[in-house]
Amino acid sequence: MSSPIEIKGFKKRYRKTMVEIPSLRLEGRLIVLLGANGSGKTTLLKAMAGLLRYEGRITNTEQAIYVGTDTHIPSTFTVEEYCRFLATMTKDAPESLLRKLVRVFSLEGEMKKSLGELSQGNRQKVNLVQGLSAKKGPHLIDEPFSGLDKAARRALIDHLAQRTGRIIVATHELSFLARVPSRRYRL
Amino acid sequence: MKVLVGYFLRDCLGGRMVFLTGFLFLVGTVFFIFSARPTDPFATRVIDAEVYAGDYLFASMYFLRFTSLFLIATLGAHLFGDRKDHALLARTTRRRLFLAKSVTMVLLGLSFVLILYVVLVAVYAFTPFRHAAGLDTGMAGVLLGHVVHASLVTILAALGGKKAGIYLVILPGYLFADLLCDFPLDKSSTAPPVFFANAIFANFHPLADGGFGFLTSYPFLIFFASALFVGALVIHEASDF
Repeated sequence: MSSPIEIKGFKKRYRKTMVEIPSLRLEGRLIVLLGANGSGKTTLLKAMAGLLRYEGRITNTEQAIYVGTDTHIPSTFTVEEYCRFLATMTKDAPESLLRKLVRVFSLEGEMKKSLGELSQGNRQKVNLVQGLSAKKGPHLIDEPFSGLDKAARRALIDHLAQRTGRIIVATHELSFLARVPSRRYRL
Repeated sequence: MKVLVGYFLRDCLGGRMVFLTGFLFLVGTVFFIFSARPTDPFATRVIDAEVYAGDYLFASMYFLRFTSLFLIATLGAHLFGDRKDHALLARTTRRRLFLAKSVTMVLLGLSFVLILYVVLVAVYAFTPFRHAAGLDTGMAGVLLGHVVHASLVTILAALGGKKAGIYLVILPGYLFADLLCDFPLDKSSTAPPVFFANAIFANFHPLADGGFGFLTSYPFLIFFASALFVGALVIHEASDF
């Protein structure tokens, strides 16, 4: 079992607002972060992945991978080319895992299409493929169900349930995670 | 690094743009090799074309300084702007990303100059303008250069997809700032807006008038560019994504 993630004295200042988490301890393999809009879920995930500058201390999130809904996806690549690029980019994203994820999200028929042509839901699937294809972790997934249809949501939940390694999900749609044992924390 | 630079080049230019670049290079090279005046020895033709294009390239870059800046700024904004490279950051470091983006920008800038060069050589070699296009012939050469450049910018605009809007904004700016302001216009017959722009852009050369000449010297420019690069790297390392 992975060591718990300790958050102490966390502060992130924006121009007019501030996200503050005095103390939080996250335990478990599948962790769900809950909270209203603006409560700091995305900020905390990005801070864990080292994408934001912040005050305070966060432990045990080295090599964390952030999977957000606003990730830049290059529209001039086809799905196949993008997957190949990801596999070339790092040994951490083996082609076998990429192929498996493409099957999980039923993207086989979209491989020859350019990313710019894809629907929002399919772009989100590609985004999840790119994030989940990196084997190291923990994986920090922000609003993973955004834009996904029912079948894709179910496929994602099944995949998250089977995966090893820590996964932290920030979502409003708790009902979809009811089938998977998870620890829930409210911000 | 090579993979990343390839990715950024593709992301920046897109499939059609890569095709256009390759096509222009191919056409330019063919023109270059089979240039006009076949009775001249090959070496002479090459030297003539190169001398012409080299001289004119320098002048063109001067005339096109605003357009070049806009073009580089547009590409720079696309590469370094507010884009979320989370997928890349999960697989590499911020520093490598920055270096790869910088290399990409240099390559794009060089490509821009090279395309210009090839087109100029081709124009010199094959068009009826070749006898009038030398810098010493003044207006004819300048006009030809502007026609070539305006065509290039328009082609870029047409093939750039969503970026077309940006180039369509650049084109009038280019025509206004570059074409009008650089001609030695007669003040008495110049429309007020043109005269105003002429006064701002064309006649404003404080650095070249002496006193601050070192600011345009190569060692200073290299130092300045290095300082900018290091500053940008530090900001990139410390910024939020």
